[in-house]
Parts: sequence; structure tokens; C-alpha cells
Amino acid sequence: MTRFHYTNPVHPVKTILTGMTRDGTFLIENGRITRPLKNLRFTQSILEAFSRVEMLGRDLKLIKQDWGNFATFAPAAIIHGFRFTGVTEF
Amino acid sequence: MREFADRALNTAQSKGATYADIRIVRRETQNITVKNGVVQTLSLDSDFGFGVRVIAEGAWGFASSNRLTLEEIDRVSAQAVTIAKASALMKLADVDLGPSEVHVDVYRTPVEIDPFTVSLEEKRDVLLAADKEARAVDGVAVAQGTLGFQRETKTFASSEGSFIEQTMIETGLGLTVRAVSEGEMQQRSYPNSFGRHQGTAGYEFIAQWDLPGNARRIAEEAVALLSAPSCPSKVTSLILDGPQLALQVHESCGHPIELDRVYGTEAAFAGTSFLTPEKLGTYRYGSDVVNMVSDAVTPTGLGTYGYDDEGVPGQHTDIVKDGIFVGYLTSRETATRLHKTHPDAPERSNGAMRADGWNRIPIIRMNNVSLMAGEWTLDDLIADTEDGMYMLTNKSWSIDDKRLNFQFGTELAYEIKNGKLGRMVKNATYTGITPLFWGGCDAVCNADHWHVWGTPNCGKGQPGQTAHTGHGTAPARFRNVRVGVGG
Repeated sequence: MTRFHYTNPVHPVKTILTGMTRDGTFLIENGRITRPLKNLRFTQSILEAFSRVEMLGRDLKLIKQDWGNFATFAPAAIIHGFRFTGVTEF
Repeated sequence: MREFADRALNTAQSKGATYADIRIVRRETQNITVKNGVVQTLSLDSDFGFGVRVIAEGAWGFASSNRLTLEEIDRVSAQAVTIAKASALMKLADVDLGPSEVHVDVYRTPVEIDPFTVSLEEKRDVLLAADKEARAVDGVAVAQGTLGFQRETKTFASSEGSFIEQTMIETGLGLTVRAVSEGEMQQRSYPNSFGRHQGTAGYEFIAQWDLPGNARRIAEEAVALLSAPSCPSKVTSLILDGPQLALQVHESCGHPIELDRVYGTEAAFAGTSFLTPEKLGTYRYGSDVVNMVSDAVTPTGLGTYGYDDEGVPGQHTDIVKDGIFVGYLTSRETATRLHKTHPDAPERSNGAMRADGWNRIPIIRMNNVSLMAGEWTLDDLIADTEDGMYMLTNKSWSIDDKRLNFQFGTELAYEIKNGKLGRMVKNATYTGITPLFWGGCDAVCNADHWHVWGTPNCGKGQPGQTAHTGHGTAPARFRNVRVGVGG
């Protein structure tokens, strides 16, 4: 998953967000990227997701936010059991 | 103004522009917010400047300034031409604006009462009265009301001979009530959420929508939602109210029909569109009862104006006819490009280019993109629904970069059982794929239920621009919709 798109709060108190993937989503099998996927929708409590981070990358990347004039330094992360709730099939 | 306009057009052409236009824009906004009985915001902003847009060596250039003097006009006009010539180094093709547009006219929003002539005390008292009604209900934590007014005067002149003066007046209002319990927060808004409902109208709009008269009802709904069960997860029939349907139309029809977006100019930011040109005239967007139009002429619509920011008259265009996709929102350049590959498409722009003030270039923006009324009354529609959900007032939204996969949440929802409204439920959501969702639309309510809802916060473009758009809707029913996602 390389980029989320149009992420907005569904339930602020429970920190549930929904959003789409864009600009490249790929299937990983046995340690290799095997094929591209259609865009996926997630609906997920972000605090719950952070509590299930298994690994963080070593390299930080500076990423400009889509909305607003600020940027974030962040590494790649593996999150166990991230909750995808929909798919665009065409 | 004519002296300034002529100076810009003459300077630009003497420097090498083959086309030039100037917009001189003054925008005044007044906002009043009352929160829990206290005036929180009282602002009056005035913003003034001009922008010069040119074509030189086949490419666009634009420059602007907040100082309207003849010397500054010379400097800015020359700078716009310099930028155009620099842009020409990278052009893929020459800009072709198609047939010329020459209009000399004056347009003014018809209003009964100019809102800038009404006293601050009278405006404040409307909000205090609504606030008092809302907070009379036990369990209300926050009541926040707002009134907003805008007056924009624009002069547009072009090297083709147009000279257009417009005054657009807007009035908006909103009230949001929040109730809080352990681990839960619920809100209700009226007439619409996310700040306010707005229209091109005078102060009479405030009385028509009657905030104080609706405050107690929405306060009681917000409190009742705290103890309501959560939205069930299932596939069912869904009836949407007008305000929620307005945002559904905005996101799933309005954005994908912007022809600049279709051609890729928004791709790096908000995305592209699934409504690509080969689908024009043949693609089934929705069921036979789905008819959508774009127009800039509906009275009180927030997207209503005389002329767009290319000086093209505001007009009415079919977008979806009996379920088939038949039209785009266009500019002069994109309409010309489309007509070359699709000769059945109109040769001229339908007038949807607008800029957010004087220091931004015009881009294609929705005017009033509307779902046309059908045959049903809301009571009959609910009575005709065996099992389903009725969802009201937007709370959250998300849609993908081609405008296909969407998910919305609403402030309020009711179950429908055997043709009757049942339990109130909270945290309602629904999700779908645009053409499948509209393909499942089997009933739209009649003209008595139809209103043009105002969306005063539409974002697009880099650097960012905010547009004011309108959406006429009446409640409608959709079959086989997935509700209660990931609660």
C-alpha cells in the first residue's frame, strides 16, 4: 500500500477512519510483490491499527500532506490484520 | 473599471498575447457564530484585486495583484505574457478556445433584502434564539449556530470584446447540536451539516429556513441518538434525504463530469474520473429514473450566476438523461477539445469555469449539479418499502480517485419495516460503486420535496481553491445497498 486517498473520520471518538488506496496497491506473497491490485477501501480504528504494528522500516520519508501546509516524516510499517472493507472491481 | 480593463488588454496584446482577459474582483464576507449562548465569531472581511489571464505563443499565462493602478496593471499584464511564453516551451499543443464569446451585460443576484443592510443585532438575535431553544433540551452539551453572508462584485473584460459586471449575493445559515455520553458523541445539524446551508439569496433566506423553529427538534434527536442502537450491517433498500443526496450527487456525479479532471489536470491532487469521453452518450450511469442536470440559472442555487469566469453565459445542460451519461461540465478549451473527437458534443463551453477570487486561475467547477424530481411523495416511498433504512444529513464522506468507490456516514437514520419508520439508529454508514448504486435507484420524490442545497466548501486545484456549489435533490430510494460498514 503506497498511498491512502480521501481519508476521513467515520467515528471520531472511536478514531475510526475510512479511505481508499491509490497510486499503486500490490499483493505480497512469500516475501515478494507478486501482482498489482485494484483499489481497496479500509474502515479501521487508527489507534487499534497502531497497536498492531509488527515492524517499522529503518528509512524515514518526508511526505507532504494533500490538504494543508505540513509534512510528515514516517517510515514504512507492517500492520497485522488491517481492516479492508471494500474493493473497486473495475 | 473600463479604463483599467482596457489598459490590461492593450498591454497584454502589445506584449504578444493573442488572447487576454481581466477579472477585477471585490469579495466581502460577514460571519457570525454563537456557541452555547456566547458570540464566538464576528468577522467582516473585504478582499480586492485583479487577475490577468493571457494566451501567448499558444500557452496560458496568469498573474495577479491587489493594487489596482494603471502602472501595476502594466506590470502584471506583462508578467502574465512572460509566464505564457515560458509555459510555451513545454506545451504539448496550442490552446484552442474555439468560437469567440462576446457579451456585454450586467447581472445581479435577485434579492428581497440585501443582507449587508440588516443590523448585527438582528442577526445575533436569530442565533441566540436558536441557541436557547436547543439548550433547553436536557443532555445537550454544545449548540453552535452560524450565519454567513457574501457579496462579490466582478468585472470581466476580454480581448474578444466582452465586458460583464456582476454582483452575486449569498446568504447562509446553520445550527449544529452535540450531545455527549461515556464513549459516545452524537450530533444533529439543520438545515445541513458542515457549517451551513447557503444560497444566492438575500436576508429573506434566514426567515425561510427558520433556525429557532427547528432547534429543539434536532436537539432532541441528538440526545436520543446517544442511547439508540448502532446501524445494523446488511444489504438492504436505502432512502436518502435531500441534504445527504446532495453530497452523494456532488461526489459521485459532480466531480467526475468536470472535463478538465477527465483530461488529467487534477490527477496529481484529487484524481481523475471514470466518466471517460468514449462513454459519452452511451454509458449507463443510472436507472431510467435518474436524470441529472448542471445549471447556473436555478433561483437561490449556490452555483447560480450570470456568467462564468471566461465570460460564458450561465446555462442548463443535461448530464444524465433517463440513466444515460450525456454531458460534461466544460470550459472553452476543454469543450473545443472534446468537440474535435466527439462532433456530437457541443462546440461551445457550457460556462462552468470559476476562480476562487482574483488571485487564482479559473478551473472547471460545479454550478448547480442536480438530481431532477420524480413522481413519489416521501410518505408513499416509505410505505412502499418493506425492509430498509432511511438516512439523513451527512456526517462523513470518502470517495476514490476515479469517483467510483464511495462510503458515507449520516447523522441520523431510521429502520424501515413493513412500510413504516421503525427504530432510530446511530453511526449509520453506507457504501457502494457509483454506477451500480445509481443503477439501483428505483424512485425519486416529487418537486414538492425538491430543494437546491448549498455546498460552500468544495476543494479543488493546486494551489487550492474553494468553490460554492449547489445541488438540487429530492429524497430517493436505492435497492441492494450495503449499510453498516465496519462499525
